[in-house]
Amino acid sequence: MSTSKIKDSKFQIILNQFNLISEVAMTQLHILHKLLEMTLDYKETKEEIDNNEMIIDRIELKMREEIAYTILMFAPKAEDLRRIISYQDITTNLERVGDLVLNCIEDLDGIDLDRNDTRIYQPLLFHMMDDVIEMVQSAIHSFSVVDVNLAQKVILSDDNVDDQMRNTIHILSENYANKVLSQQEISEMLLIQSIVRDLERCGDAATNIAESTIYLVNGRSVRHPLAMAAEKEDEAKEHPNKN
Amino acid sequence: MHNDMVTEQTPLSQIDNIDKMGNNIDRKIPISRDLLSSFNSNFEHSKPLVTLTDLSVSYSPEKKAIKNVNLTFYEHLVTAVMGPSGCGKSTLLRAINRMHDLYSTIQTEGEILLDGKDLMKMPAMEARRRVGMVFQRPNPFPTMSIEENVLSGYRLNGISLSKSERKELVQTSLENVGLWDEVKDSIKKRGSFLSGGQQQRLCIARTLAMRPEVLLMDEPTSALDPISTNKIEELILQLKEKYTIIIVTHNMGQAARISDMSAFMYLGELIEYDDTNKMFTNPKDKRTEDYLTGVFS
Amino acid sequence: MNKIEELAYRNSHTKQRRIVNVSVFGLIILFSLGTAIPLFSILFELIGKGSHQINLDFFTQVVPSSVDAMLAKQKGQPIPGGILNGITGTLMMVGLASLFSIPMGLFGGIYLSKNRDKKMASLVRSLADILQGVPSIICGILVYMWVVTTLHSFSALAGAAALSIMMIPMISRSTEEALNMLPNTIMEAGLALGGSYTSVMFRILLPSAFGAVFTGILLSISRVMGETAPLMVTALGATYINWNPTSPTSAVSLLIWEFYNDPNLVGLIWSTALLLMILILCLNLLAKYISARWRIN
Repeated sequence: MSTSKIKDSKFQIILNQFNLISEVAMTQLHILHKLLEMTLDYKETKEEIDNNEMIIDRIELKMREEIAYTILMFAPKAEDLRRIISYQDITTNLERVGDLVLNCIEDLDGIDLDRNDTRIYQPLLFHMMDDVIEMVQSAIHSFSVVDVNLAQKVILSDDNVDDQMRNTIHILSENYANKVLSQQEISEMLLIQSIVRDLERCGDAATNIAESTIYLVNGRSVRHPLAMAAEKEDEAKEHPNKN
Repeated sequence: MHNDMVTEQTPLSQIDNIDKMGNNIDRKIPISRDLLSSFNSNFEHSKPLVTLTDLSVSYSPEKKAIKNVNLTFYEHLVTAVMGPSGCGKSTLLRAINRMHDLYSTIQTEGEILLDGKDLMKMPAMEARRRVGMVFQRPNPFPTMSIEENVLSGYRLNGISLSKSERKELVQTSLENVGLWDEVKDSIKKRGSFLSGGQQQRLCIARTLAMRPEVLLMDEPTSALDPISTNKIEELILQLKEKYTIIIVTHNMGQAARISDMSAFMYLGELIEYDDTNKMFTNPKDKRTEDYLTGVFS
Repeated sequence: MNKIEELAYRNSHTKQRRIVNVSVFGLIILFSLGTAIPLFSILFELIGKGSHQINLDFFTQVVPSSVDAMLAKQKGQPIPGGILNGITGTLMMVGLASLFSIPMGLFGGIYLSKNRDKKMASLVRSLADILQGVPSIICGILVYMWVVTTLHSFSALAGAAALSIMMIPMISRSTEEALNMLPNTIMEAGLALGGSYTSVMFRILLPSAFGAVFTGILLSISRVMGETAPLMVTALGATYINWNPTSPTSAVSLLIWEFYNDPNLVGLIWSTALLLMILILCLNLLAKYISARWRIN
């Protein structure tokens, strides 16, 4: 609430658009999960998936215009300024998530999950997907409620997702080493590798979103957990009596 | 990817597939039109109300303050007229309500049409009834009470009102500008105790009581503090529904906040006239760009 | 470069300047008091010499005849009678003069204020200023030629006419100044509401300038109240109370002259002069009070 209703209503519009793109991005992630569970059929949901993607892209473009115009209208300062810039960052990352999820969905369609060979990868994919979904959800949530601790958790869990990706690729190479593979087997192996890579990038995007939350609160950009730890040290030195 | 569809400027609501969003798993995501404000062109669906054709105004025979301006103001839109000092924006505004008639040395050429009728040929008093003006410094009449100020237009025009009509008019006018609650106990007092922002709103109420079609505002908030400025900007956005507003402003943020269309003037000429958001983010003329980026002011 | 920096720190003789400051200030106070001395000494003299002559009769009786005065002086009694005929005469003539010159002066002032830059107005303004400088006796002689000769007698009308000639330029100029002091925006705001110039003038401008206009009128009245020379050749004087404008009339200022010429009535000069002074002083103080209360910020 401020003394300017015009500003409040403009920021509300941006917030609504932000909520919408977040929801649609999460929806795409859930669709991906359900496709993996095989509770949804790709052909039936294809139209909806394409719609969602279109909406995400459209909102991202719109947000950029809105944010530029909002800066023009109000010359925002302090928290308003950090918030506006954060909205821009997060929207870009959510659009990236949308693209990555679309790729994953299309890749998943090319894999026949009923075969024994590929079924062993299901739990790995599930685990990674669950983690990534939680990361993205938590990152968005941490921004909405401005929870720095949650954001830090997300940032720290990036390493875990990285490890899972490397692990899956390692298992793939282990399983298929020294074997003669059919074309389908090769294609599926490449698709799985592509999926885990894209999921890892989703994790990165979630990390970026969490970093925006920290920027919103602190006004400083943090890019790496080590740097975060170093910062905590500095703070402890400055305020030795704190905590 | 449907990239071609996305890069077109299709308002989202025209995409029929939106309705199928409701079939989403586990949740329905409502999309309504106002969630996504659209930057559509403002004047395509609006009716022209005031048309200036080849308008020139000169203060002395050699020097023209505005030269051959061709401009159309659209109904129920807020149009901002901007430009550096001395570009002729106030002159333009005052030409529209025939203020230049008061000074014999000022020559006006060209045509101004108000809803099709020639503004220069109609009696000045009628022109000023239909085109109201709010000035830069709030100027409530000093010897009149708040109530009398609101009704002053009627008094000056010799229109008589019954007691109940007067009461109703005063209350409605003050409510429309958001002053009624603040002054309802002191409408018989003189307006000098009001703050600058309240005085300016009183002046707006006084002008609107005459129900003009067009409201001209000459830098109405430049003498006011930020909170009063906010209130008046909100008021202008509300007034847009009933009136057509032309506002001269130095403040580009203000023009971005409240205006639909903007006109940029420089050295007496109209340089550019477009939707505000288009002109401010991507002006077509280099002079406009220079002004907006502060090369000159 | 160092030298230039040090220039500002040179000795500025502060002590001497302070002494000069204080002495000049003292001189200013001294001289200001000095200008008040004549006024106080006049009042002192008049009160001293004239107050014993003021009683109820002074205001209710007409001028005594020379014989009565002589008898009373021999007996050592105060001079009988009063100056009622002078008081009524002054009232009537100043009243008539005001009746004529206030409207003329007001309209003249309005004309001059509206047409500030026109040649005709500058001419009228110069003439008004010149007229203010014309010796009052000449005004009287002119009126003698025009009015007294036409009516074949001295009269109060003639006296009023002479006074008018002196009052009109004063009222015009002070009205013009009063109207010019009003901020321009008030007139523009009134006109922007669709009012005609007349309604704006009479309903807004004159009421706003009322204090200054009224003050100007009061000052001009106080100025002509004491005029003697023009009345001598137009009203002549009378020993009885006269309300007929076409007959010769007395006036307070005329009576002073008559008392001066009559050795028996000389004693009445002081009281009459004191009354006149007090009247003029009261008018001036009233004018000051009103102008302070009605000041527009």
